[in-house]
Amino acid sequence: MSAELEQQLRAAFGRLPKPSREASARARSAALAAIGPSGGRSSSVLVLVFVAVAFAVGAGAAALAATGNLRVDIGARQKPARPVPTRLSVPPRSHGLALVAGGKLWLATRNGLRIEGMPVSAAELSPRALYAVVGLGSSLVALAPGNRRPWVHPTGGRVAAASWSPDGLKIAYVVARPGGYQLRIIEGDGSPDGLLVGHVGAVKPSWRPDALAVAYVDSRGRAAVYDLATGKPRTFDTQKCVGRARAVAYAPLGRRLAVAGVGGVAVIERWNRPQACFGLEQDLAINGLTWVGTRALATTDNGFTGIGRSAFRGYRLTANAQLDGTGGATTSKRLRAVAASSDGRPIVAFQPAPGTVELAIVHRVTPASRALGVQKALVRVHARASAVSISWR
Amino acid sequence: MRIRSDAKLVELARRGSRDAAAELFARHWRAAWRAAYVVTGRRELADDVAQDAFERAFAALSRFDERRPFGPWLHRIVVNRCLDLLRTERRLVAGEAELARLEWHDVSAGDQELLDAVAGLSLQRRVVVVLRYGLGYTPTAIAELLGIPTGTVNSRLARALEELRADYEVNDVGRA
Repeated sequence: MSAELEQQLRAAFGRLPKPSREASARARSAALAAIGPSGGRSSSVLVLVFVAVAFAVGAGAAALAATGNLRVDIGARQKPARPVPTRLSVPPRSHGLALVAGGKLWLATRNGLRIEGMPVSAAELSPRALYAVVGLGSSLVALAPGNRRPWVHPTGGRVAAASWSPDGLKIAYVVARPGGYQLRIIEGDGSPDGLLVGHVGAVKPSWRPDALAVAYVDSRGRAAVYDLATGKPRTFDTQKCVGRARAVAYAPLGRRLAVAGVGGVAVIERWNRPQACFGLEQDLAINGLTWVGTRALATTDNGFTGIGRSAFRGYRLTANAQLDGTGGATTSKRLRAVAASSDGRPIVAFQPAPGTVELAIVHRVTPASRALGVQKALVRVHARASAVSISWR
Repeated sequence: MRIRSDAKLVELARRGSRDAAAELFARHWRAAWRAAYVVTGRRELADDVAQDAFERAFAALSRFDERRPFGPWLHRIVVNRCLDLLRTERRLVAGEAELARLEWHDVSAGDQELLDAVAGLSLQRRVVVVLRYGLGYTPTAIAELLGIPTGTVNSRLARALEELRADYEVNDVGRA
């Protein structure tokens, strides 16, 4: 019987259908692009970044220390973390984690960069958390571990959000300038930056994984993409579905763009086709959006009016390009932000009590109670729970 | 035409030969996709996972130990991506029934029953069954690929077959 079953299994696997031509062509093209010439360039430019950052070392520490409520430990490799509630630890299988809450930064990376309570307007870790970039006053400042100084780039205004490109070569950032917010781009080594879009929303940009396009929210609250190859922006009419967009996020493979707003969540999959839409009957204060797989999304919000519970909601893109709400969970703690690791583990920032913010990895959504289960908090900080953002690498 | 070995193709691809990379892709794409299809049970997920695995593999060719065979390395990436994806989904999605919804297309009724039974196995058992009977690896090779002892592979296989057999017997009774 066993041999017969084994034969049946071999035969059934042998008769499995083939992948579609479309999927095969898409995968071939993406796979070949992965071995393209960019590899060599990436490493050489990263070396340049490294050298440039190293060159800048001495002045930075002093300059940062002079900023006030700041503690920076630079140098020794951090030991595998034993969770300490008031000291941020790097979760397993990741390179670094940064939390901004109430205008302050807590950051820890595997290679020894640690910051606690630094006043910033925005922060973002580079891929693999080798560096960090923060908005400090009217400057964009890059930080690196070891005895190296950061570079400082005057931005002429407060940096509202920054996003490091997946290849580590560029940083897109949104800066407040007279007349509105601008989307600008700067090389990872801090060399002079350039203007991409003159009037945008104060929303964190999202890079396409090939680093050739940046998604953002335009000044009218619509999702848009700036294509670096053509130098042209493209706007999508997402307002019908989501209202004013509050967050944009490229999917892990870059084939889909998710947009979240007060009225719902939309996914743009094919640029010239109608977007998949999950509309809400009542406006929500969505404050976080992240992909947790190539077809799965999660958002955090403060719940519907009168309910008094925050919600972590899941959505899945179906085979026929519809967006299904796959349920979620609520919590009495107010959720403030969500992010995901490269392998799709979500992490949330929440407010357990006024004046404190905690960061924890989502463990489970319990089906029966619909309660949000989180692992032991990675850190508990004393900060206002406004403008909370997470960067996890 | 002379058939070049995987090792030779890897070496050429590392030096930037797109032809060599394309040949590697053509040689391994279908098997990688089928493995992803059986493990995930969904065509769209298989498309995503297999593509992602190739992208990761090609992007990491410079770190690949060329003394080792390319196929098992690629299949390891495919399997790990499937596991990551399914575990994340399982953790996040409330209803397990939602996850269990399978989409076998272009598969005969008999095969569909068997594949459904395979999909009903735990992830760990499903993976070894796919590697053993779908991709033809020996238990020793599976052990090396997954980084677990050969005894564990054998025991997972034995239990998986036992479970499948029981499932089949139940189905037989149901059909009678």
